Amino acid sequence: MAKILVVDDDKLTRMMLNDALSEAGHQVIEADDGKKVATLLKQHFPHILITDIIMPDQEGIETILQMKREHPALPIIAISGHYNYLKMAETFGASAIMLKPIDEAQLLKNIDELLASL
Amino acid sequence: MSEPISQSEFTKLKQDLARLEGEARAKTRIYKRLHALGKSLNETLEVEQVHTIAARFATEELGFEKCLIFQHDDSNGWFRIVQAVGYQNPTEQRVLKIINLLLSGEVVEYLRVSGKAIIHTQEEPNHMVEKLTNSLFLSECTLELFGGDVEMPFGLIIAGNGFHEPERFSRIGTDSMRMLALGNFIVQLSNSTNNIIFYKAWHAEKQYLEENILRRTEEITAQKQTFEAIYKTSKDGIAIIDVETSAFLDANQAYLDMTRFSYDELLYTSNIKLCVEADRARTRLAIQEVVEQGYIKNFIQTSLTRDGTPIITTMSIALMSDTSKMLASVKDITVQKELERSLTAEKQRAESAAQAKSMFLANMSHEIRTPMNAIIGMTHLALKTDLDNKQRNYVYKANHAAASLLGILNDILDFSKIEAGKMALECTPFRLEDVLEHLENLLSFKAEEKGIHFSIHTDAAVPTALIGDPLRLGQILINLGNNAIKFTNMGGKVDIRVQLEKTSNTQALLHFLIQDTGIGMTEEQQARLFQSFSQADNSTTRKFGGTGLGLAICKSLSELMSGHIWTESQPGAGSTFHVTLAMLIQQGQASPRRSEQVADSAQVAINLASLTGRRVLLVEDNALNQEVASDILTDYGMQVGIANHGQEALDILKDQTFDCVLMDCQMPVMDGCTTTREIRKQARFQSLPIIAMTANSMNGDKDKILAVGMNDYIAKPIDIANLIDTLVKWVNVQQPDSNRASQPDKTLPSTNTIDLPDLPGIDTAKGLAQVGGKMNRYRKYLGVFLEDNQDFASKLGHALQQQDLELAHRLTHTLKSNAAGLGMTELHQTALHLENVYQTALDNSDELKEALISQLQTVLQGLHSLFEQHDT
Repeated sequence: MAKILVVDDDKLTRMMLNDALSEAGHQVIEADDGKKVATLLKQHFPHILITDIIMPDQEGIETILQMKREHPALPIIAISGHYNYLKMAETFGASAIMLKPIDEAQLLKNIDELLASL
Repeated sequence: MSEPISQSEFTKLKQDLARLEGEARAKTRIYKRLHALGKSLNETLEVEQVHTIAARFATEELGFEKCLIFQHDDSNGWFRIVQAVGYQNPTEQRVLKIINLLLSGEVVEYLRVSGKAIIHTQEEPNHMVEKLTNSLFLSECTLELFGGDVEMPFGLIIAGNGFHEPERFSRIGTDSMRMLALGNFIVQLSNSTNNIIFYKAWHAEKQYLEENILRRTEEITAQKQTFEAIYKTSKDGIAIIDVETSAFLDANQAYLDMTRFSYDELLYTSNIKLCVEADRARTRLAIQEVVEQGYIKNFIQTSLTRDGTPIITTMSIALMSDTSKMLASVKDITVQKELERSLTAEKQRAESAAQAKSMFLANMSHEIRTPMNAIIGMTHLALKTDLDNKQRNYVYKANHAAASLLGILNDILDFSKIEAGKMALECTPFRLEDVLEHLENLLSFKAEEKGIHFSIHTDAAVPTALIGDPLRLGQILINLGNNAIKFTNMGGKVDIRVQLEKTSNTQALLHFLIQDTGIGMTEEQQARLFQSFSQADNSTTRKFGGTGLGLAICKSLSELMSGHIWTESQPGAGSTFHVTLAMLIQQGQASPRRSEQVADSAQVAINLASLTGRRVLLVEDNALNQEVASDILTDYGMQVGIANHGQEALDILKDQTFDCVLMDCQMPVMDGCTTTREIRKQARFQSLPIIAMTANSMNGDKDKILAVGMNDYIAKPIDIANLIDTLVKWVNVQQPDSNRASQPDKTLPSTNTIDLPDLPGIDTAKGLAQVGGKMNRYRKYLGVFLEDNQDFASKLGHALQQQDLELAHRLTHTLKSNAAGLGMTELHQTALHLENVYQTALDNSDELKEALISQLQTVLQGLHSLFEQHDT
């Protein structure tokens, strides 16, 4: 099973994602801001990054751009309540996009596919 | 008593008296001579003559053997001999020529500074001049400067020998007497010389001034003649106008011709009276400006001719040297202005004609595409039914023919767009591999069918992560590739190569070569190749088909992409088409290839499966199109609702839910754009995917569609793969599960909800479904929500009080997100609205905020009682 870094400023969203992913057997690392991603990546070496787009400090698009520079192979799932932001995230290189509220089954499916393509 | 004088004394006295008498006579004589000299010098006007007289006087009257006069030469600073008397010997004369050059420096400087003569005698020799005087064959002499001034003496006179010659001295008397005479002589010489110099200078000056005056007079006369010639013959009217009264003081023939007045009629008439009423105030201001500024240029005035015909004139007016008058140069520009007006009108007419043409094209495109849609769709469906071979053959051919017709139609539309300058290129990141793969898929099949070897090769240096218009790039390559295959016979070869022509950090010029071993072309054929409606020759059209627009479109497209297209060919030896295209290179991490982005076939299958059971509302007025679309959609397991126009769609949406709306754009009663705006006005349809189906292929339509709130669009006639792709994209992302109608395996068994009582403002079934039906987790989240949002109202209130727009936005954003996740539908919608409001301003949001707070309160109260119940 995979190690997944979940970045979202909203506690409830993180909790829900963590629960869903943990139940499916994945190991979850949480971060409440994009700024922490780089450090966490070095400590935990996650297989997949799930990031929210609108966050107060470093928002998701910036994180995606940063990851595409520093860890181009890392699959990224962008999540947001706005389709427009997702579209943007996709343009900038998100491997998958998901509209909030997150359909858990679809999320797990996406993760399986991303893992298979690694 | 006096003593008598002795004889010897008497003799001595007599001798003295004689001596004194002799001296007196000599004195008288020399003064007479000097006086005569003065007279003759005064009558002289030439310096040379003065010198001759002076030299002769020195020798003849002053008793010197020799006399030399040197004149200063301004050009080199030397003194040269201009007069020599007493030098008869030829040897002496030759030597004098050399002496010219020797005289300078010490001697002259001494004379100049001391202001005295130098006297050199045997008894008192002057060593400074000893050598010089020797060279001049003088044993004794006197030297003195004359003329000019101390700074710049005019000349030098040297007279010598004979100081002690008694027979010559006797004529002058004593030495002192002679020296006195010499001094007087030098003064006269000096004065005369200077007088002549001054006279000459004054004369020259006077002559110069006189000449100048004469020349100026001639110039002025010539100018006057020129002016008069211009004045008389100019085609521009010229008039002299009085500043005070604006009256004409004079006018040339051209002005009279222009205004048709006679000279007498015009004279003393005011210029202002001549211009039309509307221009009078302006004209007065213009004259004011001339007075203040000295001139005015290109002042346009409409004036009336004698018979009342208005003429448009442009005037340049300048204040004359006599400032009470102005000189006006007037040009009649009536014809020019009329031409301008007619050109503007012509241009407007042409523009509106072009507009009408493009409108016509847009409409025609709709009119043609609608039936095409029906033909292609119907034949496609027919092919899926049970047909015998003959029928299948017919239907296949009809389908194929319709597809070809669509291709031609697209060519014509593209070409019209290019002609109208309305072809706009996309600018999106893409991968060249995707374009080439698509090309290969299309062409290799055709090539194989025809028995032609086909290959595509990309040089390693070619950057493939590009930004540009992949569709148009594909169009160019498909067109050229199709041509190559079309004109190549069985057993031949068609190769496509991609090379890098030039590159910078941001841009690359790609060179595509499409090489075939086909029939080739003559030079004449090549020359006409890229013209519209032209193929190699007319018979080609009959044999090979096509509109002849393809290459013209390729040429225009390549030029739009800052590239070129050309060809190399020989009849019978095949052709190579070259295209260069400029593309931007993607910076940073390259976009993934489409094949990487889009899931594999298994994923497609999953996506397709995800359409099953989805409900789609088809809004379409054309019955044929309704049938085609609904059959296709039904084929993919979707449930299709049909509305004949926008109003009907709105009515249906009132009491039925859909996952997606397919919206035709041009419909009677209510068109697609209006309908979309109406739908979007309702909060619950904010996120309902609406996909436009549009036959309009003109520019701007796409933007308009997105601007009114539609999510995407597909072109008519409908490409089935495209329709399905688009539906999958929107239905899945936008509405996960929420409205899926007949998916009992996905919705939760109702028993699962028994644990929860009815909670106000919460659709618990929906919320539970979103967490995969896990009741324990759902309860947990509801608990967290309750806990986290107790103080939401005060937090938001505080943010608003601080005018912290960003915080207010984030708070509502988070609430919206959580509400959506937990099934709090109403709260979600209100928060969504408020979030959008806070994105731009805090104003006018109080009502919405109150609604949000009250909805949240309802939800929280319900949750509170739920958890209290359980806790107790």
